[in-house]
Amino acid sequence: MGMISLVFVILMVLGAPIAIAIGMAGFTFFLESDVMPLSIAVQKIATVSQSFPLLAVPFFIFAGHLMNESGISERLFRFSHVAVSWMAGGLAQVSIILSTLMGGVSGAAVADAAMEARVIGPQMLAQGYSKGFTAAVIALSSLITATIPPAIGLILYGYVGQVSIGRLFMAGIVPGLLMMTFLMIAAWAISRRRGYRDPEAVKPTARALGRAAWDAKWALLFPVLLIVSIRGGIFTPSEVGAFAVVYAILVGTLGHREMTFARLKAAIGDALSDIGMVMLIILFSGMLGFAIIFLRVPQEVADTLLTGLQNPIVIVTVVLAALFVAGLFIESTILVLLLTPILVPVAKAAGVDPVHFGILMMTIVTLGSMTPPVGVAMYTVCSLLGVRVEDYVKESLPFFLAIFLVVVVILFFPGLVLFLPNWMFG
Amino acid sequence: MQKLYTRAEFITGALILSAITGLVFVAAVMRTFGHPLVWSVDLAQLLFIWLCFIGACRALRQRAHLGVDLVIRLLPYRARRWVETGIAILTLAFLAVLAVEGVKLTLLNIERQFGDSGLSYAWVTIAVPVGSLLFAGNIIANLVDAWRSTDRLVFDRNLPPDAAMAVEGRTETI
Repeated sequence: MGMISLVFVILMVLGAPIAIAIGMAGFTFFLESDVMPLSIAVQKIATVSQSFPLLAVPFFIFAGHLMNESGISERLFRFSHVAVSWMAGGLAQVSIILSTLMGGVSGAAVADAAMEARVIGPQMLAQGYSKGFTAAVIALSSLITATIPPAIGLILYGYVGQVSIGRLFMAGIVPGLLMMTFLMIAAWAISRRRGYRDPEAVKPTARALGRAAWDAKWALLFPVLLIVSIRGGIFTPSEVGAFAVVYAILVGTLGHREMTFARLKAAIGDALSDIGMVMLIILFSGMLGFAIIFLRVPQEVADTLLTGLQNPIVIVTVVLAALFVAGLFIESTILVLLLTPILVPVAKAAGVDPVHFGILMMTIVTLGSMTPPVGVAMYTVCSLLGVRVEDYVKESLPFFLAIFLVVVVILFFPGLVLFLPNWMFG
Repeated sequence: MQKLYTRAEFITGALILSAITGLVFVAAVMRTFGHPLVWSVDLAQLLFIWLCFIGACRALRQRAHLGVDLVIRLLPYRARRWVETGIAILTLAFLAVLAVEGVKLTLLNIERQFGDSGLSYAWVTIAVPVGSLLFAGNIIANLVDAWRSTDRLVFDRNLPPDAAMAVEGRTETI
């Protein structure tokens, strides 16, 4: 394992694309091994593509781009604006609600953060919100999008860890809503003190709210359909992904009449690049994943952790703290692909439900993309809005505290996470 | 020539993406009505790996593959271009080995059938050598492009840290 890690670290520090670093590190195992022919390495790459659950990844990426080109994001924004812009910190609340609603149609945090930085960011700055605060709200609230189903991170965790993706999806709902609530409270408390408020916004009448909801009906309906169709295993998450693509095209063309051929082409182009970027990492990680299992790394880690510690909550806390540190430097996809096979057995051995652990793990590693020094969501938002990272960090602390509280709550009350999947799947 | 390739790549990728979506969608609908189509999902699964490599090549030309540039961005541009050139040459060697081994594996797999569909599993394994060669070709194109320019790199968008992520739309990750 020493040589493999060395190759990975050197390539990563030199700035090689992660997919290539992971591929060459995994290939090192086959070069070193006396018993493994090199053609098995190729076999492992090809085998990854034969997983039906993984097909959900391209589908939900494609659907996400289609939703943006079909007018769904705009309508959800207008609905959120009518609903909460009258509160203290109105636009910040809009951002948080919009992330939650987008969570129901899309599964990628960074895509959500980029969209909101373009749509809401400039308006917040114009209304006098500080730059750091604006960037912090937009970046941190995108964590909700990554938690509420469909969630690409949860698909990957389920695939690698052999955990039911349907259960993980259901388990993400309550934590997502908790994050929404806690972030809204944090935004409200700060905004009230600083006087962030839109003087012209008024509390909506039931009529106005209803009209905005009706306007966004196709977007609001989708998460309901998603939950109904996955419930009881009528459809698998991959099939729902294919439905999502068809649904987004139908809504864009027939429902909103906004999708043109040019916009469809743009969505396909963006989707192809994203699928290629994410899937190359996943394909190439097939070799390293095999090496990790073959070298019995999970058992060793489990033994080390479990001999020292007994209490499951302590074990999970230690693991989460380590994941948080790793997440500061390493992209969440990589952490999920490499560490899930190691950590799921640890969680199981400690008596922690792998669904419960998955939600905790995904929250922590996704949080890594909102922190310096290597945070994709953070850089996206800060660069789109021209915010300095120092200002972002200072202003994001209350929101990190809010997320931290959510993690503590779901750590100590597994029932909050598990009652929905248990109720739906028995 | 390069324009033609980009166009062909886009059309192929778009067709495969649509086909996979359609195949899985139709299979799910048919199963609901009691007429399961086994070959439909098998075919989608076979095309999946081709989609991945085609997308990966497109992302490579857009310099969209994620890397950690925390340390390396401290170097001046010329030094970075040398470092990336070194990584590129190493990657080309890696891809060449994958291509050779992939062809060997494919020859072994011609007899192996894919599910119940009658398709040969070789269609999946051959994607690794073909994909590796396409990817290698695009690395070479990026190398030429970087060395002809005064500000472009092979893998990374060479932009100041603040602007690094600002390029429209190309920032997606999980």
